Amino acid sequence: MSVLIIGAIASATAASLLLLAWAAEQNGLSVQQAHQTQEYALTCAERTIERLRRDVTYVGDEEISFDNGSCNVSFIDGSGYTDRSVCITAQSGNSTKRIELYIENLFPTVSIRSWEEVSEFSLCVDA
Amino acid sequence: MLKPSSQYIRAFGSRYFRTFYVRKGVLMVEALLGIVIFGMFVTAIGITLLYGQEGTIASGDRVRASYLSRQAIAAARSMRDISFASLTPGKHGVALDNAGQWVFSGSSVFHQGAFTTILSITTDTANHVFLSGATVWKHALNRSGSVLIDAELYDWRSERTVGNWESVSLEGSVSVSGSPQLYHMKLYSGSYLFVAARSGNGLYIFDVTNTASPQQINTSFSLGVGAYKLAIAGSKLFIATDDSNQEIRVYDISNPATFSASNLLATYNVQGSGRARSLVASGDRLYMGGYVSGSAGHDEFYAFSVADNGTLTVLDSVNNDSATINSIFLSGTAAYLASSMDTGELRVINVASGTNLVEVGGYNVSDRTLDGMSVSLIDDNLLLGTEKGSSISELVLFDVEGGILPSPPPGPWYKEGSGTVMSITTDPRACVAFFATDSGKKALQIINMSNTSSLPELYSYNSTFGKGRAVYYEPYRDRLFFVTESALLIFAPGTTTGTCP
Repeated sequence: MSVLIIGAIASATAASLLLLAWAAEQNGLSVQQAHQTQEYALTCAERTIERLRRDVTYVGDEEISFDNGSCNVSFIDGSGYTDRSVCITAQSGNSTKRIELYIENLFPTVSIRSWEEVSEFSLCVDA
Repeated sequence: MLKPSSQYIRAFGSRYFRTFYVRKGVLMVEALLGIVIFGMFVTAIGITLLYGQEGTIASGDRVRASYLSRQAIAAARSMRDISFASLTPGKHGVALDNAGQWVFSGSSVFHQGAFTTILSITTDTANHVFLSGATVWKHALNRSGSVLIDAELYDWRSERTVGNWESVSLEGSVSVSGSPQLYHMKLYSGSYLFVAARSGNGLYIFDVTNTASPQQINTSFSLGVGAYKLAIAGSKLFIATDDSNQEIRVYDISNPATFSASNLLATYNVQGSGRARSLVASGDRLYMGGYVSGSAGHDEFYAFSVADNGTLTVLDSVNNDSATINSIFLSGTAAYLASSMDTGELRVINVASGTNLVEVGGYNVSDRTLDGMSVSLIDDNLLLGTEKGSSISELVLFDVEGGILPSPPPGPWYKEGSGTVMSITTDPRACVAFFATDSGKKALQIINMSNTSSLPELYSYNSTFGKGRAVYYEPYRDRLFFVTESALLIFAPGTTTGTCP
């Protein structure tokens, strides 16, 4: 009986150690994916701003793919070169990041009123 | 069957009891077996402990490497913010200089803990680079790895300078045969200009990638009817037409080079006949201004939602039986209307809610009862163009600081136009205003709108291609597109002086 009990305890301990090791490795991978997702979100934001400067008729509503993830640019509110709202959702692996920015002016230099990472969009109603 | 011998010891030797035979050396075997099993057990536990520890350490390595790769990209971003040209292609290490600025340092950087980070830069265009931050490590036989994080940087922070619009040159032009009565234009994707016409083909397309040599393309396309104004959102072109049953047509213009009638996505029949006059698009919304009608249900301002397939659905509308809406300018949630209303040449509608349009008010230019024809807003400067009249100045400048509607003083200020002011556009500094007039003489006028004492003229152009119709200033390339009744002309400024004239 005591052997069984000791054996059970030992097995549980071993299993816990294995699971903890596996969880730790997953944690490291999650951190890496989170960093990559953040960079994809920033990349899409920059790309959108540049696109708006070149083409004021650009309205977003576009999915952009990368090697290890993607980002979605929601419908861009407003028209012309002032007062534009941009909302971006980026994904890589199991990580998702959302950023929204409000562009006051695109010319002669870009003037941004706000640039935030958010859990839910507030600037883009349809995002 | 065991046979009793000297090798065996009889135990409990009674016929009423079972006889057990114990071999010499059995305890030794069992002991060895026990030691082996115990050893295996200890080994298993040990490996588990070591694996667990190793996994945790490996995770820590990956976390740290991720931060180092990210740091390299952040360094590149910091360098880009100072000068995009500093992002030279190749493999780089990054480090802080004495001034605390990130700079390139060799072809890689070695971090404490035996991590090596390399920032790789690949140039795509003059305004776009690909980045990758790679961090590698090898701490032991089973403790090695790499982390690669990708990113892209664009040169969106650069200032697009505005040239000297006192020194103007005609850079390129193309005339359209057959008296097309060109009327309005919209630039798409920075390279294609769609021009509406009251006759001829109804719609003309120009490739303006090279502003020194614009080219008319798709010369065979015909709208079949005359068109008034255009709007573009994404890859959808909206046209206000003369068609009594298809006042609004929606086309897919994602490929202008192969544009044809088959790109028609949807149409909308506005109440009445051929009443669509002005359009403006914003995201998935379209706003239309119409010709005045006193008939019931024939409203003058409409808000539509635009489906992915181009289908238009009315969200709300505003009725005003005194006003044709000749032009719309959208600024945030305010739609500024140039209207024919004698007591409200300028009107404003709040379009924050597409399903609940609210007329905010208007402004009566009291020295005239002429139609408002064009409107534009930059910062707090609102420009209204009206029909030609005697004893009045056709261009009116308002200050709307602190509100939406003009509430002078200060202003308004006036500038004489050589004809009806058909179209207005401005530079992004609110320094220069461009307007097209319904006249051959001074068909194009350029003024200094920041000098409100006199709104001095900087340049004017006498057209030999008919009267002026539309203007559009493209800030990215600092070019002015000007359309007359039969030609497209592209103007370029002189070298920038750095200040408003």
